[in-house]
Amino acid sequence: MYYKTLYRTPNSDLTQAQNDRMFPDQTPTDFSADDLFDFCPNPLWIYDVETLKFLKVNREAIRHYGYGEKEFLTLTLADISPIEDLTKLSAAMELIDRRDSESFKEGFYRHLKKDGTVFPVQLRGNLVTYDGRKAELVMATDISETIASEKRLLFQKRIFQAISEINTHLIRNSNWMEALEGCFTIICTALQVHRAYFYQSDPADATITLKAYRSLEGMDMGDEALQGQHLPYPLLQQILGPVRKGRKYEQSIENLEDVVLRELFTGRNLKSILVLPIFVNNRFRGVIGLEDLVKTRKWHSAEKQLLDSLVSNLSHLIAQTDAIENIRANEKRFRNLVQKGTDLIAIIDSEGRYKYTSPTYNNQLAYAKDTLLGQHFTTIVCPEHQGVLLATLQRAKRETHVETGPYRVRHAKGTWRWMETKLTNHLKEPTIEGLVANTSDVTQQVHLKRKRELALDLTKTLANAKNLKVGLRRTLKKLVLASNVTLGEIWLRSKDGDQLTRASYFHHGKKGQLFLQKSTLRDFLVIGLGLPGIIWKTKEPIIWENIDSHPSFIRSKAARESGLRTAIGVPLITGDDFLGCFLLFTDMDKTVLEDHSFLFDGLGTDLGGILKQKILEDEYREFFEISPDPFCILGFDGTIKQANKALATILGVSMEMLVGQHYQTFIHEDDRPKLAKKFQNGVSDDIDYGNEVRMVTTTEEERWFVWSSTINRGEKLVLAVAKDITEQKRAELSLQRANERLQQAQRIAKLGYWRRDLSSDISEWSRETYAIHGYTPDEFIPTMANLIDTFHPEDRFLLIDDPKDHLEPGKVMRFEHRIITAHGETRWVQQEIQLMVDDANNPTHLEGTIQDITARKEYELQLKMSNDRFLLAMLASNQTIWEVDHTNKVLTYSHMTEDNQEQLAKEEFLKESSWFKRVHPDDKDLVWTALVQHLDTKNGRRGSLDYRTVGSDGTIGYVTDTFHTQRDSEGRPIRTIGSVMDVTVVKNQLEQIKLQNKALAEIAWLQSHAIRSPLTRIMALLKLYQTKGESAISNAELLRLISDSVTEIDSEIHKIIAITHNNHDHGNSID
Amino acid sequence: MEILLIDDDAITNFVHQNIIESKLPGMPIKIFYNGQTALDHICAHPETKFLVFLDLNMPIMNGWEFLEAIAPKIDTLQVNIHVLTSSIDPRDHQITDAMPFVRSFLEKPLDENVLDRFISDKIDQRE
Repeated sequence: MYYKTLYRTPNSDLTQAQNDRMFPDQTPTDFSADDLFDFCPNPLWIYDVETLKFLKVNREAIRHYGYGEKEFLTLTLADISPIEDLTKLSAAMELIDRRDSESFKEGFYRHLKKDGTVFPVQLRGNLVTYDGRKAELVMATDISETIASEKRLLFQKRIFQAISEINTHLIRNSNWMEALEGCFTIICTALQVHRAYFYQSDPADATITLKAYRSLEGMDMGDEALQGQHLPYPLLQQILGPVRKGRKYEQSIENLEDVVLRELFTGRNLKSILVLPIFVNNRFRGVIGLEDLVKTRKWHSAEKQLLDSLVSNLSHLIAQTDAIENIRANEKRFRNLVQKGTDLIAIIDSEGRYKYTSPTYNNQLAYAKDTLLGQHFTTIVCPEHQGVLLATLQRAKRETHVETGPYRVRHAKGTWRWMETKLTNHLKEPTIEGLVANTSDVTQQVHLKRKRELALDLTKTLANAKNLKVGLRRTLKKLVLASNVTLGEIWLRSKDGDQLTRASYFHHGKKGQLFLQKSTLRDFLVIGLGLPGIIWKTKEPIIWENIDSHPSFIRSKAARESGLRTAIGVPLITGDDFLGCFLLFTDMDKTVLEDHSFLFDGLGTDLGGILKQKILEDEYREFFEISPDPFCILGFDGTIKQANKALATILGVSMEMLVGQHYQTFIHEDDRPKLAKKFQNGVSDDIDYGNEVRMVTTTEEERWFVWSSTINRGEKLVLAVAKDITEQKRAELSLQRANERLQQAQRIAKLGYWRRDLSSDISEWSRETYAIHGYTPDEFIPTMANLIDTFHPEDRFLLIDDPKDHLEPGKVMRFEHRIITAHGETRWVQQEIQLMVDDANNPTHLEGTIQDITARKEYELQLKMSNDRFLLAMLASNQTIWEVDHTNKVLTYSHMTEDNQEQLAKEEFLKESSWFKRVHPDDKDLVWTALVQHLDTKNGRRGSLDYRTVGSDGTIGYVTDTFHTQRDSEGRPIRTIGSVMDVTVVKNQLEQIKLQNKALAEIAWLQSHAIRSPLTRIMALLKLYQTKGESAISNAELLRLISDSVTEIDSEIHKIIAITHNNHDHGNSID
Repeated sequence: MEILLIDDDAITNFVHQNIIESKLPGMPIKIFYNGQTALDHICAHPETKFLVFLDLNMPIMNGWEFLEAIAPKIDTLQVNIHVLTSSIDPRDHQITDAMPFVRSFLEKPLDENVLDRFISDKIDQRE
């Protein structure tokens, strides 16, 4: 703007006048100078050199620059120059002054059209004087096209150069990956892209990984470099879709409609991207991506050509590399197999001599290269196996393929290795002409096998021994013999775990024996002390040489004296538990022992498990024996294999009688089938708990046991333990019986039991309680409400109050009431209830018994009625009851009081007692004597006495005293009960009757004898006279006799009257 | 056979003797005035068959005492006893009923028709 204000001429009005002067109007047909000026196909103008103001412009200038003529002429040169070129303009203007007049000048500039378009322009000018002013005529030629064309050429050249460079790069560089990075640098520069990268796809596992990356040089490589290297995963996915199918992926942010993608682009600062796939032999192997961060671009065909060229060459290169890689890999494999492998490969001629040995002979057996060539192959074989191998060689010559078994080969350093060889016959192949021997080292396998065999043998030996001591000794013996040593020892940890003691030893040879004799053994060793103590500490196998002088070896003196030199110690371990160790001693070198050391590897752990088990077994055996409960072990056939003393003692048999017997021998007959069944089925259950079984002792006593058993399937054994529960069982049975009896008793006594928790509304009723109420448990629930219904309405008041208010804990309360049974019957019951408390003396529940006492009640009622009746009868009949308790000599009698109540009197049974005082003094002795006599008569039961009594007023009474005596088995009187009936009235009446009867008898006699005698005499006389007349008796005689008889009759009648009168005089109640 | 009349009343004996003699002429008849003399006579002649007419009320040994005395010996003797009394007391009748060897209880005076039956039936039965 500075220039514009500086050079612009404010009075633009002048321009038209000047114009007119310089170019006067002419007709179109006449070409004037102005016409030439105007029709020039290039823009022409004249400007004031001083002010830079346009003085004249032609039509082409007007058209090209887009200003109107007038407008144009108000402008200066600065107005058509881009602001950034004003410096250049002012420099040019400074030079104008130094130019000669009319001197021609040519230059290249950029100009600005009215519409803002900037275009390159070639200006050619001559200085002129116009209207007297120093001016310059300038012709402008728009060179846009020329420049564009030049640019294109340049671009293409650059592309071609880039292609050439890339190809050169790829061809020269053996590492295509490095070459690729170089190519990316070239491309970035050539195509002006900001990022170029290569993602390789691994056809083996379908992964895709960034392998090469370049960004445009000069780019800020800060965070952007890191971000740019890795494509965001969603974008990569987007790209891989089309490229896997062989298509290019081309995208610009402007065309993106997908919001997510757009965000990805924005996030990556990405404007355009082009991704090309790489296929090798039709397999997708990766992509090359190019990114422009500045502009959205349409990729030029030349650019694409460049990229295609890169892709094509790269594909080719990758294919080539793949092929080479393949070859190399194969070669490497071969090298690994033959030269670097562990197999020994050799070619042997038909005589058995080495023709070729692989480098492994050196690696594995330390025979230097070619030292074996020409030697017989058996020279390195252990003599004992040579014969077999020679035979195998002969066989190999006839057959195509032969294999040897394991044999020993000498290592160059003197040790031995186990080998196995496969011989293949190639004698007829001209390139080989020999037997190819593939030999592999099987030392480890052979050792492992021997080790396993030994471990198995030792563990079996230990496991099968009858006890720990025997097991240790046998195991040690085998170990010593197998490892060819002189002496072996086993040290075990004490049960408390604090010490080690020698548990067993075994010597093989005199030196071992001597060592044992010479050594003074310590009682025990603690951790860290002596060889066993150190093994304990380290829990690792240890080999000590020169034990005769070893500072830590306690028995070194004995070693010196016996000639033992080397010791090996192996810990016996199970889990993390150190159980002890075994020690082996030899008079030989460490190396000799080391030959066997493989045997001990892991042996400590192998033995450890069994050893632990054996130690436990020993402990269990001790428990087995000392247990007071019976234990035994049965075979599956039922025989007793082992039993403890407790079982023998309980059954009262010796151990010899138990072991070997069938278990059923000792089982109660009734329980045998049950057990036999279990034995058949039970072997299927692993553990069988709690069988109650009776066993019979030698004294035929039944004892109860509860047996539990477990099955050891492996050994087909049943391990059984028992508990003698005889006492418990007896108590149980007795309790059960007592219970049954109690129930029975309750049933018989019709005694029901009930209880109710105070917190509950429902009582618990025994069966008998239900029975008393006439219900069954199914049809009646004894809730309080139901309970009230069972009470007789008049007795329900008993249930109104809280029982706690009336009951004293632990004290029985008894009451009687009536119930209404299920059948509507009223029955009397007696309840005895008690309030029970817990330990804290809080009332917890009520319990009680209920008894049907209806019968008793009825009986009591009847008894009362009977008593009443009896009392009344006594009263009516004037009877008095007396009783003598002879045991206590007590006499009880009842008597009626004045108000007709019965009253009892008790006194000693004596003659002087009040009871006898009422007896008439004349009869007292008689009565007492008669009673005593009755009592003394052993069979005397019933008796009766009639005697007189004297009343308190002196009246005489008569009584009949009837009594009955109960006696014991020996006839002694226990009780006498008597009833005294007052017969005074009866007696008096009887007396009267007797008198009357006597009188009547007299009268009757008189009548039938005394009176009738003379009468019958008369009747006989008359009969005689009637039948015989005077021949039998004279009339006078007849009359005299009749007269006598009549007088006699009269006399008798007088007697009768006298008797009658007499009776009247004596009696008073004869009527 | 001998007929014994045991009665302390002479007139009655006279009348009965007369009735028997007229009914059974020639039949020996002996009269005793108390039971003792009659008992002595019977016991002295165990081989003889006796038809006895016994009065109850007599001195020395009355009829009851006679019966009581003869009872133990009755099986060794051949005697048919008929009580012939003036008593009409049923108790006297009842007592003699209890004595199987007393053939009948007759009231004085003796009926001659009754006598016929005794002679024909009862004495024959005994034999």
